[in-house]
Amino acid sequence: MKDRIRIALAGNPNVGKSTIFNALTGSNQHIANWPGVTVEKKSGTTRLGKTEIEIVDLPGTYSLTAYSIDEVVARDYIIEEKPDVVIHVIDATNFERNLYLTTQLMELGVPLVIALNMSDEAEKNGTLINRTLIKKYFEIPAVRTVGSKGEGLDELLRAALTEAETSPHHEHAIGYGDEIERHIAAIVAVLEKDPNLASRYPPRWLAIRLLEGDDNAQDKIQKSTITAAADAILASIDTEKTEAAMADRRYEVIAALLPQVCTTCVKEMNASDIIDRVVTDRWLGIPIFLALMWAAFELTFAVATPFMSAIDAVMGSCASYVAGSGMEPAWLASLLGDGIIGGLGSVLIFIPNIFILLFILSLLEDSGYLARAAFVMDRLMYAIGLPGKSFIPMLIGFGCNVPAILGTRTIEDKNDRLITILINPFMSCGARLPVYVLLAGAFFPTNAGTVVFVLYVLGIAIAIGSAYLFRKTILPGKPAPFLMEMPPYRFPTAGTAIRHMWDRGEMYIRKAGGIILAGAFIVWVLATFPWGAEYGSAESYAGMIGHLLEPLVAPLGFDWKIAVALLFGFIAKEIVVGSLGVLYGTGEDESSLTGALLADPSLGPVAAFALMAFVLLYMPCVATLAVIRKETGSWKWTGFSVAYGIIVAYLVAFVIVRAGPLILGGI
Amino acid sequence: MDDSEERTGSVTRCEPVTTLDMISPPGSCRVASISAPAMVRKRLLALGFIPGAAIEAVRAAPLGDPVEYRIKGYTISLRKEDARLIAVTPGCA
Amino acid sequence: MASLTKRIVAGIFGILYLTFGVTETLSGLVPGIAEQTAAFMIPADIMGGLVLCVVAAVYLAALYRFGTGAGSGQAYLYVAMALSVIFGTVALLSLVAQGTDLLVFGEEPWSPIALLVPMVWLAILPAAGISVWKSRFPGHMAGE
Ligand SMILES: Nc1nc2c(ncn2[C@@H]2O[C@H](COP(=O)(O)OP(=O)(O)O)[C@@H](O)[C@H]2O)c(=O)[nH]1
Repeated sequence: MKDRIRIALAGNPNVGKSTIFNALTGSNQHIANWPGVTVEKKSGTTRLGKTEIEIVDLPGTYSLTAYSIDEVVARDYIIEEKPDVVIHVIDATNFERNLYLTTQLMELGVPLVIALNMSDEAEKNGTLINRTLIKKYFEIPAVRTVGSKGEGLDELLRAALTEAETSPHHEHAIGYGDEIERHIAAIVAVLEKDPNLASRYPPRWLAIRLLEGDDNAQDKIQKSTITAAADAILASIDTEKTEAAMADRRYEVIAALLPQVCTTCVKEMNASDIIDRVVTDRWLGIPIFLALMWAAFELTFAVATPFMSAIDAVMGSCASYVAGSGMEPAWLASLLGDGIIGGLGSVLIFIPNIFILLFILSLLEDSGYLARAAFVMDRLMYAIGLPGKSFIPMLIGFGCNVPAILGTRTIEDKNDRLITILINPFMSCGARLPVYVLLAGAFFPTNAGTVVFVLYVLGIAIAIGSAYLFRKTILPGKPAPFLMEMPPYRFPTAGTAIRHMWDRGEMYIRKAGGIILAGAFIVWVLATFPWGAEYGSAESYAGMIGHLLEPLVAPLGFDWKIAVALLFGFIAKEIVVGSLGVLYGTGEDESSLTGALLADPSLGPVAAFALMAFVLLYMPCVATLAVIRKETGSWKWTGFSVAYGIIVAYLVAFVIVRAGPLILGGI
Repeated sequence: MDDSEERTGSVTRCEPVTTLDMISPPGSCRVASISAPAMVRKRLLALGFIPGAAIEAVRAAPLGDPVEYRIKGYTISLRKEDARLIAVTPGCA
Repeated sequence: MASLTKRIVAGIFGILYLTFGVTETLSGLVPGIAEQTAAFMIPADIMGGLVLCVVAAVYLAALYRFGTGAGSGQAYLYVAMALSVIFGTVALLSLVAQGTDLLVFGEEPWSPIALLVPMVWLAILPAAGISVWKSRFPGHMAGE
């Protein structure tokens, strides 16, 4: 018995790989990134008898070519880290297509074990897969599993352990026919001349990849002594044709074995097909999607209210406890009360929204509806250069940009995701509404509703325009090809959804929390010091910065008070209202603030509208910035988001101030 | 040439080659060849779009694009723009 | 062939959802109506009203398909009922949340009567229907 082995989990997307991974490792897991890329790496440990087992969850892939980073990560791990066993998780309801990956895993020459997952569903459909024959023909042990119920997992581990013990090296070769085999033999002969290369990569595997014109494999032989010789052979071969012939051959091998292994492979997916007929209906498809989005929105924001009130109440009483405790020195009390507790409050206040939304997204994804939503919306979004999946985060952005940006995780392509993230802050979130209500109510009393509506439309227009602009300039290209599998509908399990919600939500707390706290702390320092100045007043650093900024915002018709309010709006945009209250000396009372604003000669309807547009666009709040940083993994894009927002806001406000008087005329 | 021709030839009366986006649902055809850029071609091959494979156009999205296809017993949707890269022979179900 | 029961269910629910949907939407749009409809526990909610109209459309599409023999009527009916249940649950949860918020943190009184909005009570029968028909649905629909 070995006392320590390493197992990698491989499989197509959506086959239940993470379900099995979670069931095997329980809470003994940690999430990191694969070196150098933003693909997530999940690993965990478990034990069986005396053996400690380390399990690595590879990214879900359809094949092991170099189509995407996920595929490269998965195959490099298998080839270079050489796990003791690879468990190939197969969706038994979709056996034939899944076997394609099996053929590729076989070529890697690692010990393999097949987990026939979703066996419950397959059996319900009437599919019967003969595991003894799989063992006979493929020389791979297969285990029946039901990941969601934890069935067969012990047996799976035992099979993996046995495989690791007994077969140090497996050669499952697929014959590609005389012509291709001759090429393979020729290349293998060349590759074996470089012992360094031959010991790192299985020569036959590398030869096959080279024959398929795989760029990543080409890179692997670049620094070798035999590069020229290998290239010479490859130059004489039409790799494109060979590639098709080899794929064909793999499917042929599968097709030949399939009828024997899978005695009744049922291919129809009746129930799913029936639901799809309705939810992708020509006339009803989009209305049904929008209605379901309303439900997601309603749940995210309505159900969160009592939790948010509770957080508010708790933080509020903490703050007043600190204030009433007569703590000395006074600045420490202010630091604790306003700085730390206030900042903590602004981290916690998003948690109900975020967790509920992530839970709903997970339900949508696990049930299979998300794929249909992308299908239904794709044409529309494609027109602005985004994939169908971008629609949902944009919509959620109307509630709050923080969960919306976390929700972009469902978009696979990196550039598609980046654009969706960058335009999200322009979707007018709920926190901006109090600002509109105050200003529109004060300056446009008769048609406040229309003004607010115009602002929302302005945000959407800027978002669409920006998406278009980014596609034409910094992130060129088209949305990733829409090759999306339509998984069968499944009843989502609460356990999986909670798990997904927790994984993502916990990351928010850990990664974004710190940034939000730091932001809140900085603003507290600016508003409080020099010690003795009234919080946020002209004498505080914030006030001084406001005066410094005044010349900059003067062309927009804003004075230093507004500059300070905007500075505070960085914490959360609704704070703009409160800060204006402090600065105009009216405190919490909104009606006297309205009066004070109307009495301010520097503000008129045009300036007020420009201010609202500026608040809408100028920069993401600190929490949004924190998640942008977390999700893009780059300060550069975070900085870009701020700079771009400010520039756009400035331009738009400037145009409003200049052109506004002409349009608004007499008002 | 290769055996894909032989296979399609053995099926009764195939119409001339066209592209997959021209097959409006419901309809069926077989793959003749793929002329996509390398990356997309690899993915398509892995997904079972190999010469000779039977494809059934199941339904189009509400706005006509993308279209859902059934191949090798599962369903996948493609934008018309990408489906155009796949040459098919209609009527060879 | 669709049974008469299913046609009747599709027809009645289609009309009920449509009536309440239109009323809710109009009460949201036209200020005057809201006071009258409030007496019948119909909220003035434009979005909610439109959602009810969407559900109505799916029921009526089922009826239409039963009637013209265009097929898949069962599928539309099943999805319509599922949508009834989904939106009913969502409305219930969000009202309960609102209520909790008002009771615990607010000053205004709140009574569970507020839960009886159309979106919630209209879902009760479809929920029962799904659990009764559950085992029979997929097979039936495949046969069509
Ligand atoms: N019926 C059934 N559902 C399963 C099984 N294993 C996983 N699932 C469900 O399939 C969905 C996708 O699983 P997930 O682990 O996220 O797939 P992954 O993309 O391969 O990681 C989840 O809703 C699971 O609850 C199984 O054996 N039987």
